[in-house]
Amino acid sequence: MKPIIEISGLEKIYNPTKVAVHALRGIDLTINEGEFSAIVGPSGSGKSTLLNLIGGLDSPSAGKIKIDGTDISNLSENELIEFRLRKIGFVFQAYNLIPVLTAKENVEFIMLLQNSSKQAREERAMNLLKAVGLHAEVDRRPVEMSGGQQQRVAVARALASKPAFVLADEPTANLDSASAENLLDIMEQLNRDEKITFLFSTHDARVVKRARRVVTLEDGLISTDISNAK
Amino acid sequence: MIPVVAWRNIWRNKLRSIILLFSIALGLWAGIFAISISNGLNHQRLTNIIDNQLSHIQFHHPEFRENNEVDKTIDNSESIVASIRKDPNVKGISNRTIVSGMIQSARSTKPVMVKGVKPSDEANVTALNTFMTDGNYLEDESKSKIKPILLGKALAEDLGVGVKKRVVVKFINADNEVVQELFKVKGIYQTNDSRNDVLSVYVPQNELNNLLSGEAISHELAVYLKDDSNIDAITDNWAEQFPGVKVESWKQLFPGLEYANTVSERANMLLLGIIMLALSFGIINTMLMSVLERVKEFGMLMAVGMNKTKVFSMIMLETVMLMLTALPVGLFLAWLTVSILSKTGIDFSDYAEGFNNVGVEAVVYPLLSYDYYPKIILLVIFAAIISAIYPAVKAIRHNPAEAIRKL
Ligand SMILES: Nc1ncnc2c1ncn2[C@@H]1O[C@H](COP(=O)(O)OP(=O)(O)OP(=O)(O)O)[C@@H](O)[C@H]1O
Ligand SMILES: [Mg+2]
Repeated sequence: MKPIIEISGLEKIYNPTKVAVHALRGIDLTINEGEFSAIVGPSGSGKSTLLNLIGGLDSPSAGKIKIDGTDISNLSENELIEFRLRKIGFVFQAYNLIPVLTAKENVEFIMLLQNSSKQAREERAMNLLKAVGLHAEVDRRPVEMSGGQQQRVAVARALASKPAFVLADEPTANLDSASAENLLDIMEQLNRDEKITFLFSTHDARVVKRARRVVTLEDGLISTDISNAK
Repeated sequence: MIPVVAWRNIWRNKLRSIILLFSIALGLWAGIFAISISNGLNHQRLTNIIDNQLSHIQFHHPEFRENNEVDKTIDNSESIVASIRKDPNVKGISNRTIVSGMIQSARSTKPVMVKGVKPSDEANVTALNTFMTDGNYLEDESKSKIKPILLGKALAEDLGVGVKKRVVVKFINADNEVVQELFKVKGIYQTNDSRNDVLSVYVPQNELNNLLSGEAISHELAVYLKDDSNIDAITDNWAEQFPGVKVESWKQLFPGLEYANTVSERANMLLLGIIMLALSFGIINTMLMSVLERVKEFGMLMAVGMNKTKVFSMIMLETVMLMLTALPVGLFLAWLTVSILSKTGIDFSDYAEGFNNVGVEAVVYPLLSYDYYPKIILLVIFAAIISAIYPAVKAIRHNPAEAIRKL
């Protein structure tokens, strides 16, 4: 199996000059293509920090991160943005979408940044929105959709750029149970049918249950790493 | 799509954008309107001076204007007048004899410029006949025994004389002899330049020539053109054609007049610049508020792959679009006001006293030539770009992880 994320000796210290916070204290982790994995752990254990570093949104204090064969710690700021655009799909807890654009335009926007043609954009946006079950909502703006629907648009948007994997930091944290289950159904289906790699963090026991691999963080270190083949 | 996003972003907070839009539009309107009044005043002042005093082009003996000496006359003035009169550009030409002297009444004595003119020709050039407030204008063929004279209203008041009263005019003739002559006030005139009115008195040219030397002499030929757009070429042309005399347009006669125009034009642009500067602070403030509200959104955009240049240009675009929306509104308001008021005029007659002293009428006609508009548009775009920079820099200051953490 092809490794997509390779992490070794990863450390992150916030505020090194003032009150230093050692958020990650030496993480070694490999995520392979096609995984559907969850990062869990108590609040403050370093889940978001880890996902931000993997996503190239912040830089590590020590250690290495290789994404799809590229060592991202050597990239300049602009190269990193370009890298994120091509390789990583993001789903955040909230504020995923541009409020002034419709669902379809939000999905298209990411492809526009990649300079795809108008026709290709429209076609792919429609297909993705259909895949997340939103064919009726394509022309709605975020305020006209429920939280669950917005998160599904975010998943469609994350996939629009054909990334190597999707990174989601607590994607269900703001959703009720039904919406959370629904979002997971869609993510699971995309993972199964389209072989999309998902790495997400969560607090939510229902979400943890659905993951095929669960990596537990405690105090900036991996305490357990359990795969349950389904 | 970025322009679409920028445009829609402007209208996320409608009230805020509309308030800003109107303040820009009103600022522009006020600035342009003030400029057009100042332009109108300038134009009127200049037109008045040209129409009622200077005329467009004057001919003199090359040394006459140094000391107004009586013997510095124009040679062959009659033939020059005859040939100028044939020129299709010319509306009128006035042949003048000018001598400085004193005027005396029972009450007092004043220094004056005595101008001998042919009444009908002078009327064609300075329209002096239309400025009579009392009595009558001069006639080409005078029948009265006592020679007629026209005085300015201010001078008549100083001398304490009215129509049909007598005054004595004294000057030195070509033979260096003092000449004293009795005149009867035929009419009183008042132009919109009170400084001229106390100085110039008009008499028939033949009478003045008789008193001076008995010959048909001339010191000044004043030409009024039908269309002054080619004034420089015409002046040069005549100067070549009549080498013995000095031919000068009003620009050369009074260089200060044109200079004053240039200065006031610069002052106008400065005024507009100051207004735009004030508006820029409003724009910076509004854009800054709007940017700070959206820090998370910019973090998300940068996280998913929108680079800082694009985020930066989006904010710039929002600001410029807002300005360009306000621009036509302001320009239209200004254009409308100026076009209406340039026909009706603005009546300042309550302050007319002061206006007359500087050579303008009480009713001001605002004026804005079309070459002002591109300058204004450039100024607005420049102000928009300058004021967009700071908010745009603020928008890309955070790294995405910091911005997202605020989610
Ligand atoms: N920008 C930052 N500056 C300083 N300290 C930070 C920063 N971000 C995170 N931390 C600290 O690093 C540690 C790990 O934080 P992190 O956000 O990664 O935890 P988490 O596991 O995602 O928690 P939660 O479940 O509450 O989201 C915490 O102690 C946190 O206070
Ligand atoms: Mg977290």
